[in-house]
Amino acid sequence: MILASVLPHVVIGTVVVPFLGAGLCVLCGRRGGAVIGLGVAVVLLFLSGMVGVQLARTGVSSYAIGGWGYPLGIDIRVDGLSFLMIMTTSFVGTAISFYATGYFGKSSDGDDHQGDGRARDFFWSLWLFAWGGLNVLFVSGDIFNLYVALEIVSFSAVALVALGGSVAAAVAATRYLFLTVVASAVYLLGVGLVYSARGTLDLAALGLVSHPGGIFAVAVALITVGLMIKSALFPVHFWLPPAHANAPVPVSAILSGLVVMGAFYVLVRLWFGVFAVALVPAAGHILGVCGSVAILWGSWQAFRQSRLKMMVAYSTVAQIGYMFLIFPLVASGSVGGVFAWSGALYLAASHACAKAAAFMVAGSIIRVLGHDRVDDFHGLVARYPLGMFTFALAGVSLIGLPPSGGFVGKWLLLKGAMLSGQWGYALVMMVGGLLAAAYIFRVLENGFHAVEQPVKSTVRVPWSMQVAALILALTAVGLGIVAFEPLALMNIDAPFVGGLVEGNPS
Amino acid sequence: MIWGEISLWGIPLASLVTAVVIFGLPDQARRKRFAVGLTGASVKIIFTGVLMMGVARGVVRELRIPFLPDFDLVFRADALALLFVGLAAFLWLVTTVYAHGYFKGTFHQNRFFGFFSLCILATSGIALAGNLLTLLMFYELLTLATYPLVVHRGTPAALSAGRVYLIYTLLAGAVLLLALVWLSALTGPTDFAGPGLDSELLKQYPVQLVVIFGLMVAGFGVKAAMVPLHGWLPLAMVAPAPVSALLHAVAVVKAGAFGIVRVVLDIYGAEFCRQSGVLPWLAGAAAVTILYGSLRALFEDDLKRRLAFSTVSQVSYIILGVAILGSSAVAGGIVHLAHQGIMKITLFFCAGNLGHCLGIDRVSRMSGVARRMPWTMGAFTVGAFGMIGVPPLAGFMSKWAMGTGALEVGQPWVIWILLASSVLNAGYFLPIVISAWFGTPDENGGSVPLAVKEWRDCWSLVAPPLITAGLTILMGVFAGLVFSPLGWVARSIVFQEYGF
Repeated sequence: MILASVLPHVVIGTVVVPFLGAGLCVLCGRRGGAVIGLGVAVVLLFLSGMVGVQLARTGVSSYAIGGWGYPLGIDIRVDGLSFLMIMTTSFVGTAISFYATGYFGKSSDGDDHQGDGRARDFFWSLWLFAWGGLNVLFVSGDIFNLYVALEIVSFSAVALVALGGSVAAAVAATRYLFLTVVASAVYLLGVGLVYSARGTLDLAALGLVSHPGGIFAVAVALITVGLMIKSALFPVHFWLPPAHANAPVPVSAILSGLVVMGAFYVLVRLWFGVFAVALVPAAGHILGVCGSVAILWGSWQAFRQSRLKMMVAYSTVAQIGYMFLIFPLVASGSVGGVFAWSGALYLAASHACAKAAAFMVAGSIIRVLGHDRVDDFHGLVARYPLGMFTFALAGVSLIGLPPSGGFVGKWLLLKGAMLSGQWGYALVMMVGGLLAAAYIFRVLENGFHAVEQPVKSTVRVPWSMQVAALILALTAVGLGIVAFEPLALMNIDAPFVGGLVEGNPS
Repeated sequence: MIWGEISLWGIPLASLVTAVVIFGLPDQARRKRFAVGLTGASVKIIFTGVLMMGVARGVVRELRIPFLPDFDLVFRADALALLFVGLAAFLWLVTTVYAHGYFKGTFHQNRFFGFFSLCILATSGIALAGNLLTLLMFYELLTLATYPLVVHRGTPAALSAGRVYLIYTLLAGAVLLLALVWLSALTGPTDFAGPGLDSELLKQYPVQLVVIFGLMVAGFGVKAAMVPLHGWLPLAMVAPAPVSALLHAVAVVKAGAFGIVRVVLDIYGAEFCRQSGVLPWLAGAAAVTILYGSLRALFEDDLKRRLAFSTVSQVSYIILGVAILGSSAVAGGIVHLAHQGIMKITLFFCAGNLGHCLGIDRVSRMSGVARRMPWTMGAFTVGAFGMIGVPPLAGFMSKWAMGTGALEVGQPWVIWILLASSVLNAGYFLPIVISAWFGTPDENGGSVPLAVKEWRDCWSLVAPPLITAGLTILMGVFAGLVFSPLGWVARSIVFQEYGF
């Protein structure tokens, strides 16, 4: 009884709690940050679970804030896709928060690894702002509200990048700031055009449009370009690698795992809802070609990097390419689109886990060795076995080998490509997987290299850092074993009749 | 009965639990690790036996887990699966004993034994898979679990061999994945338990289905070391002897051959294969591999590489037998999975002993070595004669069955291939045997009678090859009985399962 009356309101908690926490962090300053951050993380994890329970029980739900519904109020809407995003963010976010408590804390030899401690002071409030923004993004039912959420996330992310403290970090953050402001402006222009054409900003109402018209096409193009920049799709991805090179490790995890996923989410939400009439194969192929080049070029660049953090950063560029293949595969209009939809989004969720885990391990390796030059990782498997094992697990998901969430996503995308007859994308995905194997195994091979004098590790990596990474990597693998229920939940009210179809398409 | 359910779960779990426990042990806990390994292997053998008794009564256990929207995970303990699992479990037990002695005093043993157990887990999964997706998942897991074993020593040669191994096997896995998705897009999920593909489909998509068949054979053929995809196997011999023995002579290559058997008999089905005309190509490729492998083996001086090329040749017997589709030929091919595995592991154990105890790794230095290690060379001789096909050893039985089957379906050319291969086998095994027993030793024997020294110092290295050599004799002599591998294959697999 109580549950039934409370559950519909839980979704508001996911939006409000992080901002409250961020405010508290600002007030409490140096000491309270980690405690509040962890507390918020755990609460959000619990609330996200409740949202899932609500979704399973009653299906899609809408929530009118303050009782004001459409057309005056702003609607909040939770369907399967929103839940997948919220749950992924909560889970990965909690792990990142645990990692950050170890990362920004004092290490065993009493050294404060973050210089003057400013990074630690500001990290928690900025991170919670970004998290709140992401949650708003995932439940917004209004196209302008999406803009607001994107701004919150982007500005928090820019500041988080600048926490690196060095001149290079400031340069990278400024470049990111410039690009993200341009992207937001372009997006806003598109929103303005939509409003002028339709007179409403509500997503559900906009979705009922039947005659697209010229203005609509321009608006779609503008919004898409803006979101391409924010999600670091080739060729506008170039802000991402320098940002990663200089940001603290938890920020890299947030950026690559969650922020780019948020921008991708908005694009999916708009293209398959509001702009569905504009989803012609040609438009899909533009994004598909960009995605394909991202996969191949990003993987190749990752292989060529000498530093692990940069390798993982370019891996993000490649994996985003995979996600963007959703557009050409669904635009073809065949039954393959159903598989592609599930595949790309499941891949996004698995990628968040695996990528965050990979960055966390990179951070731990830097603690152990003092550097992250891959060619000098000799003997690392013997010296830091848990870290290398975690990296291997994350790598399995990034390559798309079974058992992993990456494999499930890849299978579904391949199925979509085969069913819609788009062979080129299938081949690109296979080659991308092999290239990913090249850089992942380059790291592992160097780790297995025997050394003359085995060195016993004297630096202790905090347990919170190691466990957080391991749990995320195990989750990425676990998503490849327990895939049925998540896929079913995710497909509640997917933009296809009845979700996935089974069996013989002919 | 409930035992059947438990057994089906228990077979992969035994390896998984063993692996997890071993990874948790400190590197120095030799006795505990040995005990855990033996326990895991014994439990696995018991569970396999339980399921075999069920199959003998006609009960085939199946476990179905919803996984993807268009494909379930299926585990099915049919007679063919149990043959492979039984082989893997028994040889795991024997190799654990061998490796315990081989790695005495070296580093990173828990890493080795842990990944070893994971390889057996992967092999069990491949064996028990009830559809191609499940098989593919464990096939890739096998690649991942064997890599740390190939590069175990961490030397540049080992790392380079590991890299080549990965390139071959990951490419194979990608090809298999593509073929599987393609096939499932055409026909939906195909369980092994079904009757094979419909002939109607052949009329609809003739070219596509043949191409998919070729891709699947290529994907499995890499692990099965079919020519020209065999290049990784001789290089992988740089790994320690237990790895070469169990994995690259038995588990990995047999997984590839097993996959091809499943594709021909279970996915496509015998009827479909006959109609689509792919079998002559498969048989031809197998025949080329048989001859090429044996020819290359003649010219190898490195003992383990010679054995590797011998493996390349012998594994294709399995494929040739299945490609002919006569009932005896299929029986001979499938039972060779077990026979060749046991004979080859004997040879690799002996090669490992020679390398480990005497530092001999070249055929040219093996002159008179039987005086110094008579038990080892005795086992080697039995294994070698089995490979050549001397009656009444196990190898002869498989070849005889295949020859009979070839005559049954009117393909006498196969007999010529078998004969040529036997002659070549004699060509590269007999000189070793003769020179070892009758040649003059390279170095002085020393005052201690060497046979006693062999047993006293390294019993765990000598007992396993003797056990497997003994089995080679028994499997051949008692091949006519119901509970021999050949009896199992002929009755439960060929007759009961496939209705030949």
